[in-house]
Amino acid sequence: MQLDPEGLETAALATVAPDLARRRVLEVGCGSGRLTRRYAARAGEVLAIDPDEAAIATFRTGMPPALHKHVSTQTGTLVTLGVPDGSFDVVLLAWSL
Amino acid sequence: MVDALRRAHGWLQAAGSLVDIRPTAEPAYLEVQLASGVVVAGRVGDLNDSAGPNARHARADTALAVALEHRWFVSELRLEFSFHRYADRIAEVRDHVRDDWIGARIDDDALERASRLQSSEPGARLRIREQIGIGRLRPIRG
Repeated sequence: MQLDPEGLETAALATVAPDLARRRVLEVGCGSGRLTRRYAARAGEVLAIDPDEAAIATFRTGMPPALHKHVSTQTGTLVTLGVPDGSFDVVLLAWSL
Repeated sequence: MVDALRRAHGWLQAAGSLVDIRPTAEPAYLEVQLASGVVVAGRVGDLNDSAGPNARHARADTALAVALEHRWFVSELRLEFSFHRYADRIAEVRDHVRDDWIGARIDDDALERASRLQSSEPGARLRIREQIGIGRLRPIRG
């Protein structure tokens, strides 16, 4: 199955969130990182979370080296994530609401 | 879902943004791309009225409406686009919907129709089209 080969999702995200440089992003519902890989290089820092442990493991294994300095991953949900208020510039609900 | 939005509101900087990307409440369609145009073979439905993607997306819309009503966020920008999943074989479509879409189903009739259309023309492509909404919302403080 080939997903969004036209890149329409990436283009829409770039329109809605054009400036991610130096921004701290929380991505909720990252799965195995399909969407993360499409935007993370232009973000300052990304914390990508998902409740599916296996998906997070796949994401970590397949993450391109260039993204390692931008992206950290965590198994969990919005409910289990313990972070102080005001921690992020962008919260991205990635197909997860 | 409403609780998720409340938490997201708290974690954002005052000048931050919530970006919400997800399918709209419109069903996804199984289509065949032919030289003469795109033909709809059927749609992806819910297994029952309360479980499944279409019901879930409608609930998400309601949750977002509640968050806007509470004035946690103000909507700044919203657009929609089509998200396509292409498959070489009809079995791929069937397995994808069965294994990867929680609570979704696709009728055998639709699969059969798509399969017939695909085999009617070399180069015909199977795809599932889903309408996606993406919105940017600004948190409101105080």
